[in-house]
Amino acid sequence: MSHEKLPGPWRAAWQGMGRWRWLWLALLLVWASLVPFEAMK
Amino acid sequence: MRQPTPAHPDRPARSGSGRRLWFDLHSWLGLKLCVFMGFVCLTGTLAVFSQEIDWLLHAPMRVADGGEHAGWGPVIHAAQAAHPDWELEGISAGHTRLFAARAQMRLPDGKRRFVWINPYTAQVTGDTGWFNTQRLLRNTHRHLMLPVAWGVPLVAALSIPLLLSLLSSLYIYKKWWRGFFKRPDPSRPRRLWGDVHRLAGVWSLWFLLLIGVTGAWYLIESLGGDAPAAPTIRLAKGNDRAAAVDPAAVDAAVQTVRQHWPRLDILGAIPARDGGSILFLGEADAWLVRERANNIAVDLHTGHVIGMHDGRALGVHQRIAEMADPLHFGNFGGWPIRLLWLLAGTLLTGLCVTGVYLYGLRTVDSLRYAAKRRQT
Repeated sequence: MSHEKLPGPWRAAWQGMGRWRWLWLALLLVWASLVPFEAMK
Repeated sequence: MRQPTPAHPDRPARSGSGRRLWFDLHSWLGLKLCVFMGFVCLTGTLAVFSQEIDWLLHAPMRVADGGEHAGWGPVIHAAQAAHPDWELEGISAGHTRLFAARAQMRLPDGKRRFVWINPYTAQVTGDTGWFNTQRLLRNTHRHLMLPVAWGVPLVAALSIPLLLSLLSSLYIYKKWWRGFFKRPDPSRPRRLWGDVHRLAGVWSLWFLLLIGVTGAWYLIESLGGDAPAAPTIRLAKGNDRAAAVDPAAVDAAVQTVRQHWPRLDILGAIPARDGGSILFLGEADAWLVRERANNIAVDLHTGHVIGMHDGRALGVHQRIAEMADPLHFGNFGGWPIRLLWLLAGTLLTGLCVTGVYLYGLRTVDSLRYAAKRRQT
């Protein structure tokens, strides 16, 4: 009998987001990199 | 890792039934967009009180309530005298009675700063940078700091999944109108968080609709459907800077405005770049409009009114455009309304978080069930 380790709910949801999560992470990174430029205006 | 689709929230629905389709749509939208949606909801929620956050952070913004206002002329004079080489672009009354008046000024190098003036004593309390909490939250929430032409449509397009989530929730949650006082059942995490998600959902339905509709308007506006501004607004523009604004002429202009339009409560002023005229903005009789919808321009040399626009005289297109901001920001009824917007925004942000967590709980349940079946 094998004991599979189940993911936690947050990890399961994170994995369920599929490729979209990388899109949003990339967008967040773009936003974070633009903040200093806005601050310098 | 590919995971099984989580089971239906309440009871198994017939395959292909309408309710199942609505649930799948709700779940898909919520899961795939939760990071983006949650981020935009969170920044919008915090933005409701961004000026108060800045007030706490920056001492020059804080003043004691001193009763009678010193008048617009002395306030403008104080800002100009403190920084004679800076150009006054506009001035606005304190956000509340404990806020200093704010003069927006352009430096010789083109950068902008805010100069704060005690409106009761007409003394400058200090100056702060253009970038503050309000700017950070506003520009993040509005266009993610991206160029406005891309960022605004991108963020405003979230109104479509937001409205679809609202619509689908009404199909999924049967007899939702009975859920306003349903106490969450703590017996199992999945049930507890499902109940919390539904409870937060029913209480924020009105806000979801309001934010979704105003957001859809911003999308239309960003794609070219914006309403023309009141014709008097162009009077605030002008040619090159010629002279500082004469404070005595401003006070005389305020008297003229009071005679012409006694119901106008002046909340801001924009001097023309050539210093020859000034545009006053404020609140009057029109309901749910931005300050700029009520404006009156006065020639500072002759003291004559050269144009005015009453917010009640708006066409349908302009009316929609003017209503969107007060409804979206919640800034039309003082702090109690903004507090309500803060709470509703918190619920909306919470819906993103609890929805995702629920998906995770359901997925883990499905995986656990599948593992058990394999073992037997």
